[in-house]
Amino acid sequence: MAGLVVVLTLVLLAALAPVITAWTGWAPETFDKTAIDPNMGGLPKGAWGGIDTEHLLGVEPVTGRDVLSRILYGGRISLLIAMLATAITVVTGLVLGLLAGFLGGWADTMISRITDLLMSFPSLIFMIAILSVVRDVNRIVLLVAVLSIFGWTVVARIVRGQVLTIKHREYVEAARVGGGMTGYILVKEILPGLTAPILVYATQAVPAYVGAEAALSFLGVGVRPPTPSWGQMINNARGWFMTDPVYLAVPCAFLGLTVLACTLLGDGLRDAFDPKAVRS
Amino acid sequence: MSLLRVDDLSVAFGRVRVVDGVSFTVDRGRTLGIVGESGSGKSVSTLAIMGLLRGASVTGSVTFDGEELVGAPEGRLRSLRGARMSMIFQDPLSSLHPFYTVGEQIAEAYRLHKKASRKAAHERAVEMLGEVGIPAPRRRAREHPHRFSGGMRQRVMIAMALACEPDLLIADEPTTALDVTVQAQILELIQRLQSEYGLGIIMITHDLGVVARIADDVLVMYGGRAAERAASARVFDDPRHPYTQGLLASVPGLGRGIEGSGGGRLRAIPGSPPSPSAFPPGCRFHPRCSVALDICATEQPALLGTVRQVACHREGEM
Amino acid sequence: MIVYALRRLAAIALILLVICAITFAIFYLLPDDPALDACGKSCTTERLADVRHAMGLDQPVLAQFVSYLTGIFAGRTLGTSGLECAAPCFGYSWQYASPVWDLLLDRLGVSASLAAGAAVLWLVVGVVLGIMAALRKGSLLDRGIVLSALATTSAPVYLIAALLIYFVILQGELLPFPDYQPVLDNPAAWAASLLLPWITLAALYAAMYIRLTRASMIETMAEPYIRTARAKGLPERTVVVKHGLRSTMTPILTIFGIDLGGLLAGAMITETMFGLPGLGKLTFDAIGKSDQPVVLGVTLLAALFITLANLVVDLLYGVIDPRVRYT
Repeated sequence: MAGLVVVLTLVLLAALAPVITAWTGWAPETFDKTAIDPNMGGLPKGAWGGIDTEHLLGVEPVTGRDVLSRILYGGRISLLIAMLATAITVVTGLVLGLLAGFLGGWADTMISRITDLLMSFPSLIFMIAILSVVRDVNRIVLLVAVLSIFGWTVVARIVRGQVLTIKHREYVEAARVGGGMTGYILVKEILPGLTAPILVYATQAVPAYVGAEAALSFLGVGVRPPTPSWGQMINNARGWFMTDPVYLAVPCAFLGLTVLACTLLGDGLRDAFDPKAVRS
Repeated sequence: MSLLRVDDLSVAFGRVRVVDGVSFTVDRGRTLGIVGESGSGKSVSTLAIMGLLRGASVTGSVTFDGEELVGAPEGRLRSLRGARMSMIFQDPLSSLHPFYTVGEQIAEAYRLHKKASRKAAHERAVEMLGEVGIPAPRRRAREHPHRFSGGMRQRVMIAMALACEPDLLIADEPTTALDVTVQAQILELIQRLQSEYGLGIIMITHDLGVVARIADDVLVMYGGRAAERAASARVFDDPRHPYTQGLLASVPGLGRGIEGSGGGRLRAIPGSPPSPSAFPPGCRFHPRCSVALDICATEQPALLGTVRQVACHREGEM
Repeated sequence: MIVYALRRLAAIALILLVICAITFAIFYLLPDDPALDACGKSCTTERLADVRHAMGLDQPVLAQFVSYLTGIFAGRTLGTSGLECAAPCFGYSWQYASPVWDLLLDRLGVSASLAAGAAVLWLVVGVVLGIMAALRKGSLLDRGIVLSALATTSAPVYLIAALLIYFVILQGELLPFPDYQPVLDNPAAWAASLLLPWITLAALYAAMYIRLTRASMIETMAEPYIRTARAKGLPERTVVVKHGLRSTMTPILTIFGIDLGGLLAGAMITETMFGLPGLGKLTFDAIGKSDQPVVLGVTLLAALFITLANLVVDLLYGVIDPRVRYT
């Protein structure tokens, strides 16, 4: 459960970003000209990207903005986007999967066709295309929307499969014969069976979305400055990594740590639940 | 000399001793039935004989045609497996590789052990399929297992096991997964092949009907130990161990040797078999035994007797 | 099987048509005007109208779409500009002053080289290490492999690429900075320019394949038919390679097809990090310059690769697993 501890710590750090930056005294947008060396093209003073007691994770080249503070605020954006996208994917997938499974017929066909279509889509290129042409829309909302469009199909397929197996099981038949309402069957019989696979899916989806947000921001179509995000920091650091590698390493490390912790958490959850039931 | 002599065989996985000091013999042309509930150690014992247990410590002695197998090098065991001793399993579908034709799977062992050519091995496979009663064997040899019915798959397994004309066949619940009529056919086939090849057979089963039909000798296992061992007729006519009595009383038409079991009343043994990680002390059957004494809970009964052997503190008085 | 393949190809054509329509509609509906970019800085209203007319942008959207589709099969003349675009015509890039198809063909070699080399690397490393870990499950070796796989999956691709560039090119000076050469011109330079990108991309995927192979192999080796193979007296090597591996590879093949199909149309981040002139870099640049015909072309090409890869995987399934029936 080391994964859970790290995940909770990261979430807590992001949530407490204002408190922590108030304590360190460096807001994400505050320039610190004293921490950089104008004679060295704006490189941070000192080795290791300007890490010292004042700036715990160093400073940004040229501006001297505090990296810790930007990491914390960037983490808020990255985690917020990932969690919102996960929530939307799960809810959409759940609803559409239930509809497809229960209604069958044309509803099922429609939803399955859309799933097929979305899975053949080169999603990254398409996301970038949309993100690059849509202007004047809140970037965070747009990112969440674009990430969610392609994510829900996985959940829908899990849910649909589960509904179909449970639908034909005797005890649901029995509940029907016994006059049970569809809603009752839903809550009592189907949803509990879905908790395990969906929870495991969510622990995989969050790091995937953190990574996707980083990739999109890295490619310049994600979160726009001055809002910090991890991907955007990495994009920024790309031009500096030959002279200031620490500046690139720090956001990469946080990104990697998030993915690692979520993967460990997901593996732990998978083992805790029936391993056979989850794998499919 | 017996074909197979097992002496004081024990098998342990880590600290858990699954089989504890079991002995028996199998002669050419004869069948030993090993009976017991799941977890009694009957399958594990035979896998240990074949050298197929991985990560287990096997002690005691297994002599096959005069050769000691416990501690024998893996290469030596491998050259015996499939050549001179073979095994068939409970679920023929999952025991056959889904991706290879049955002909290939039968020919594989023949090619390996008899150093036969691909063509000769294929001919042998076709011949064996015919031998086990599969119609149109030449055509069916080129089909995959999923195209066969349950009974036919078990026939394929038997053909595979006997392709190299082994001396010993271990059959691990070969009829459990089959329909009753098919069960009878498979047992008949095994008996026919036994007399043809002079096979020694170990038939593992929890079905006393199967044992009554095919076995010459019976070993009843409980909790990893031998409870009773004797010729088949004796066990069925006059079972001595309370567990054997209980088993017979729970099967219709077999409980003829037990008092009070007339009138067709069936009795199940109360309770369930113990898990190997928590065997009870003393006689392992005592918590479920209706005639247990105080001593049964503390002292392990020895397996005593000559023509028949029983491990029960009350043997002799009952 | 042929009927099945044909039916699947028809479905693929339909999917591509829908994807084309959706992408086309998005570009048409969005306020980004390519004519404005082409017109230049000192653009008057009349001149803009002329440019729009020349580019064929003044036509109704449906007409534009139909002429785009016809162009793919028959070629077309672009607007009134007089520019001939031979079949298969995927539009014309005003930025590069070249038909999109020529650009795609030009860049495909780089991306295909990158994807193929990386795929070989990650498949070999992933499957071999995965099998080693599975066969010695619970051992020190297994734990080491699983842990390093976990660490590598978590490492962002930027970091891997940056570390390789920093240590191998800048500090170690073991390789020059990637300068792509076609494989037929100079195979050694080709391999040298792609080595680090291959490693980067392979590191990203190999870890996942290790986990997948290990899980699949452990599951397979517990199957009763493996016990049967051992009971036949087969040497352990035959048991693992002939009886175990074939079943283990089935789920891996599926993922491999999808991964490779997705990568053929370009690994955007890796190509950008190493400055490789592949389809990914082309897309990245095209998006920055609102070069929509190029983006549309790459999207369609990528969708084609993905759907075809899926079809190939499904057909291969039937070769591996005789139980599969095409319906």
